[in-house]
Amino acid sequence: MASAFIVWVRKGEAQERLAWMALVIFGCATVYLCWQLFFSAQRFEPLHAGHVNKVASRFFLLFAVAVWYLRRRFRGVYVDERDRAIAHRALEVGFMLLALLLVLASAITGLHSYDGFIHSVPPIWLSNCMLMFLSASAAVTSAVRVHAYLQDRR
Amino acid sequence: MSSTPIVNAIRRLRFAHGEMTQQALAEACGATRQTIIALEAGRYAPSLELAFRIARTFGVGVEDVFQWRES
Repeated sequence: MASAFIVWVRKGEAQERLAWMALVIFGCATVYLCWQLFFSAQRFEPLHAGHVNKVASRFFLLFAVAVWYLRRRFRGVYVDERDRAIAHRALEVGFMLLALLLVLASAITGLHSYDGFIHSVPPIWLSNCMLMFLSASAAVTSAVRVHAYLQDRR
Repeated sequence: MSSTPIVNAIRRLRFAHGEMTQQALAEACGATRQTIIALEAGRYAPSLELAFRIARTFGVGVEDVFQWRES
């Protein structure tokens, strides 16, 4: 099943494969950050002096490796006007999601009923939450691109 | 990408030109094969530049390839 899916993806054009890879990478990053923020046993542990923010450092390492790999793998790939139109549309959707998440977060942090929760979490938890928003936005951007290319295949 | 009010004769013209493949047309007019697929399916309206490139590839005018579909 998985191998058939990989073969199917590999039949697509370079831009479609790039969108799939970005979706997998940013999707995994989003799930990882979400798990760390909401389900991990150490999620609310206060940070002490010299403590390394492992979640953020792992995320940035993953992000840097992913960007390096994708740039190297798809260097010189031809991009035409439809690819640019799809990328533009996907960026719009990703940006709207990011804006929505940030507005929701700022609204929630302003509610009195969440005062206790906001004061109980370490600041780094909130910064990791922002990273998750970025990652989710990138994942949705990739998903929109994948969807557009899937429409082409039909 | 939704369908457009512009219809085209790309598929017919490809076959009229020695059964030209989508890949060959894409390379000739500087697009990707997926763009040609989307154009033939009526899911994408090309830029004026690409429309001219496609028409020139077939050696015809733009209006011989693309027409506005009255709803």
